[in-house]
Amino acid sequence: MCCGLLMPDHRLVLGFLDYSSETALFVYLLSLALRRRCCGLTGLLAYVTVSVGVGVLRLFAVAHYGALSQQYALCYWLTDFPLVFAVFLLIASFFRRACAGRVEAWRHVRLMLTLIPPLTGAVSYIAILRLRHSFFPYFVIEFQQDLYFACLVLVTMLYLMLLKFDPADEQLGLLVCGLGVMFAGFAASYALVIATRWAPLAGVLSGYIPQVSDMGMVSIWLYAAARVPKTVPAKEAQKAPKDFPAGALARI
Amino acid sequence: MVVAVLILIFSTAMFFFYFQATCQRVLRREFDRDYFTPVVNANRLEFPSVRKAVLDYTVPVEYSRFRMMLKCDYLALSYLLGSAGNQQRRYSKEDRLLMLYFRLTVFSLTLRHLFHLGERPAILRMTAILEYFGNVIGRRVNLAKTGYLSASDYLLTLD
Repeated sequence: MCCGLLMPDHRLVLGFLDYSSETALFVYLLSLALRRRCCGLTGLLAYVTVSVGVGVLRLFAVAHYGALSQQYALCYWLTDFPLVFAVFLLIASFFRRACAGRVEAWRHVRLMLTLIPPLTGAVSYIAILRLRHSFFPYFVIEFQQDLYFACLVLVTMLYLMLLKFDPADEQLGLLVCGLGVMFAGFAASYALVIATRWAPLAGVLSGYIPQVSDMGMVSIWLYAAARVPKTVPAKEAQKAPKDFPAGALARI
Repeated sequence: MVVAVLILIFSTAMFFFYFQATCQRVLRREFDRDYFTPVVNANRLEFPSVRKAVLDYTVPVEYSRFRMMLKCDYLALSYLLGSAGNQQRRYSKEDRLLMLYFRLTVFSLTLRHLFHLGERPAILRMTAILEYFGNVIGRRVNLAKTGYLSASDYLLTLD
């Protein structure tokens, strides 16, 4: 009954809404960049550009081969790899922004970020060994689950770091929260599929949860970019010259 | 399988954590002054007294009474959000997000009461949301009344 209600048509509509909101964010960030007001959001613009590009490719695949075709499924999974890589670079740029003015902390973070891709590669290699008989569907799902989960852990570390270093940067905090919502939704949906051993309802839900969490992330990012101004880190603010020193005011 | 279940539990918990963190950051938005006080007085809302009672740790939390008071305030404020000083007659995305957050907090309050986990944090969160709504309504009404006039402009119109 429930599966009957959740038809692929709804998923397509949801996907279209998702792409539309991402395009709106892209246009907004681009307009900010053209007016040279994209301060601190360049990494975000780069990621959204990749994401919109991937979205166009997927829409092209749907239009040509159909939503239920194997070609679309192949296109979807193959384009997910550059997307995850781009989001990894975005997280790295957020770490860089959080570590502004803290050279020692950035050194440690950079080392950790360099170790993440080979570690994920090692985990996926173990998955290949274990699932070599039915490589493609199981491996891809398991690999994605691990990768998104690793990114979720990274984002959580970033959030905690942000709380410790610069709790005043509301914009970065909201951007990280958006990423957290997206990764948590993605990791949960992939884990649900594996934990229920590809139960039909879990399969249907896993089609909806990532799109809903992606839309949640885009909405939070739009709010962060439009409503919340970038806060100057405390250390930089201390370095900045102050207007009207007390002596000057006394002279007036 | 076990790893997948663990990831599922952790990810679901993190989803709600980040949702809450986002709502808390939206709630942290600063208003140039306290707009909610006239709204509270005009509509005889009770959330400030509930907050005062909850912050006073010597008084026991009257769960069912406080819950009812806050839910009534929520109904009044959510109605005002959609109508008072709102020319478009519809909720903004922030309003909708915080309304969902309020409902989830009511659910968490029920769970906290059932499992004896202490209701104070959930009640304080609910009062913070109601205060935010009061501020939004007060600000909208203030803008609708005076527009974007400065204090001197407004005084000149009184002549």
